[in-house]
Amino acid sequence: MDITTLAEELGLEEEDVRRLVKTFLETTAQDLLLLDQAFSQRDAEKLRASAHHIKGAAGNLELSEIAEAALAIEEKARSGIIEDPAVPIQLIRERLDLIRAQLSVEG
Amino acid sequence: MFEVLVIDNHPLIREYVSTLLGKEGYSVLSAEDGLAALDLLKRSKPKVIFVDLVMPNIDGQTFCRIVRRMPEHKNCFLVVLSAVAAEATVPFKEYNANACIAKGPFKRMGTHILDVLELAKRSDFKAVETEIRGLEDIHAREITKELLLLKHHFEVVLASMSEGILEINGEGRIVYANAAAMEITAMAEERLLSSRFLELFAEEARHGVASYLEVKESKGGPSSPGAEIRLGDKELELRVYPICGDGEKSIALLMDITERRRFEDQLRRSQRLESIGTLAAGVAHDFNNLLTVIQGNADIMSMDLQQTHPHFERLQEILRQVQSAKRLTGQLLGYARKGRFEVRLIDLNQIIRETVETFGRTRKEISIHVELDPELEVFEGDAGQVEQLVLNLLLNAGDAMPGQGNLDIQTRNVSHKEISGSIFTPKEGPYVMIAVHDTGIGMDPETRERIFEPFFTTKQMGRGTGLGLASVYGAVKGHGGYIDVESEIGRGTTFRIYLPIKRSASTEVPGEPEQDRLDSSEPQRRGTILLVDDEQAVLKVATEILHKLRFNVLAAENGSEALRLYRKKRKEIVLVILDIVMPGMGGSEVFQELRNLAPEVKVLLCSGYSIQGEADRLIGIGASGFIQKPFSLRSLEQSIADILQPGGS
Repeated sequence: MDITTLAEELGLEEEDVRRLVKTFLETTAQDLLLLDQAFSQRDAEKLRASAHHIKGAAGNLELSEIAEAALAIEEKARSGIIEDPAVPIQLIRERLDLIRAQLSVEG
Repeated sequence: MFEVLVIDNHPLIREYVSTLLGKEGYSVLSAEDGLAALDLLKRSKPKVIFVDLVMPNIDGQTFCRIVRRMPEHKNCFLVVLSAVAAEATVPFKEYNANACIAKGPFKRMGTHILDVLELAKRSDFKAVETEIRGLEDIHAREITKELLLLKHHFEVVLASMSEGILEINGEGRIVYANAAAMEITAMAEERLLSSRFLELFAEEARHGVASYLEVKESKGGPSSPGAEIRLGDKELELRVYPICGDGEKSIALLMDITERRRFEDQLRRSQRLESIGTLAAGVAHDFNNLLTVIQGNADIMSMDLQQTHPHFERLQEILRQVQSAKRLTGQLLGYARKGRFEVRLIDLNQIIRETVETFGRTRKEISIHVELDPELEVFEGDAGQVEQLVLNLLLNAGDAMPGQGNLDIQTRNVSHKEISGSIFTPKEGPYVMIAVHDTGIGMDPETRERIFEPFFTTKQMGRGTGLGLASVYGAVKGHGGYIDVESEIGRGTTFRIYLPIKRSASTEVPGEPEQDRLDSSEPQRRGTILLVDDEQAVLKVATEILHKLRFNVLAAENGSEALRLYRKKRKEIVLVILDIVMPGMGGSEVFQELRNLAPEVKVLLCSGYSIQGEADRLIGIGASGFIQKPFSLRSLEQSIADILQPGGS
């Protein structure tokens, strides 16, 4: 993720973009916890809603890998399939860790 | 600088829009859902509102609808900002929104947001767009369309339910209401949503309702199993269901049971009057037996005494008192609808004219206005009961006006549809109505509730029997009619009575009662009568009376004794006088057995109850006649003569 380019594209200060990305990291981390919980509760609707939330925010920041992983969970849950989302969750966590590392280096 | 409000449950969107617009010099407010936004609108007036569609606690569509009904905010520029818009066609114009932007990458979204704001300013916040902005990404469009259809389906189902449904959030505030809930609470959506559920109810009911909301876990059942509660002038049944898996929220189900309660009250009231009636009839029956013995003995003594005897006049006084007592028991039986019922065609106007004349003479200080419908239909009924009914209504009105007053009496033909303001649903058909209005002292609701109960009286001890209006009630019910009472303390009372116009082909126009046909040329020997009654005292006195009438008497205390005697002496027996209500083998059973033994047997039925019911039935299948206790020697003689004379039944 290139904060400088994103800031230019959005017409915002780098500092603003950093803050937005931090918010994204925090809310997505929470949504991942909800995903885990929804799976253990076998709650398809909660699974779908949490994945939908992650997908939307990732899409806003054009983080397509995260958005696609979330979409896969959302679609399954929508058809009533409750499948362990461990693999996509793991993928999303790794991507989030990368962004977090990047932020702390640049920050 | 003007205020912009952004409503979205994702913090990232709120933060992005705030940052973007802050840089452009706008003052930006943000809210996480419709409920929080409505709270903000109480103290600020944004010119442009960006609103997400799918949110907890009042969604975007509902929020748009409400805002357009708020006088303060209805002219704001509404922009739907939604991910759903990226996936399905959002009919944002139906939500009365000015524009719609599909969520997507911030870069593109930001451009649309700024463009829309420019448009709003340029058009003085009036422009309405036709197309959704930012639809380049058509990701998963079909999926959400299905979801929206499903949502629409539930909306239709919820809207058509007659139960009110409210969704209540963790703070006890209403975030969803279906159409029935708005009707039941008599509150528009904009007032109902975001208001506190508890505050719908009166102060004293809130504690109970709060306890239902506190139950957070449920095994599928409600936390309040059908609690009854008042809301305004309505009676409600309330069930609160905690939402499974979402411990904060509850669903309240409101059922309007006002009508149901009203019917139950009505039923309870009529059941009560009915059971009092049964009791009253039972008392009247026993009294009639006692009166039979008193009257019989007094009759026999009178016959044996010279009119100059010092006790003769006393016996006449006893007989007069028995007649008064008989009128009272007759009224009780009338109330219980167990009185004699002689069906004739009745001219209600004529009865009223006669009754008013009598009444007017006794209460000259009351001014009486009579307005009788000259076209009033005649109807089938019991003239005696209707006369009593009219008289009792007039007496009651008179008693309500101890000094002066006005009494209005009106008659009219009405249809069942005009019987209004009543707690009953009248049977279809034409009715005659008599309305009696007085300008007297009026009644409070508690009194009005009880006026038709026997022995209930507001009059001084010794002045009222408490049977007047009770017998009015009995007579009206006996005729299949209805009573309506309106009353107000200090303003007077109006009774409206509706009697159905029934006419069967066989009913005769009222005629003169038949003349006394007592046969003066009595035969010397009159045969044997089998007398059956379970009351010893009645048997004894009736035996004596029959001896006086020159009959031989066989007395039986019960059914089997009667049958034994009949088998033995059937050749001598010219008539059986049979009590209907007896322990063990009752009169009906004895009658059947007698008919089996001798189909031609003549039976005079006798009872402290009245002819209605069992006696009527037995006459229908061949019994020769009926005599009501207490009877005089003379009336018994008459009844016997009617049966035994040649050509008698």
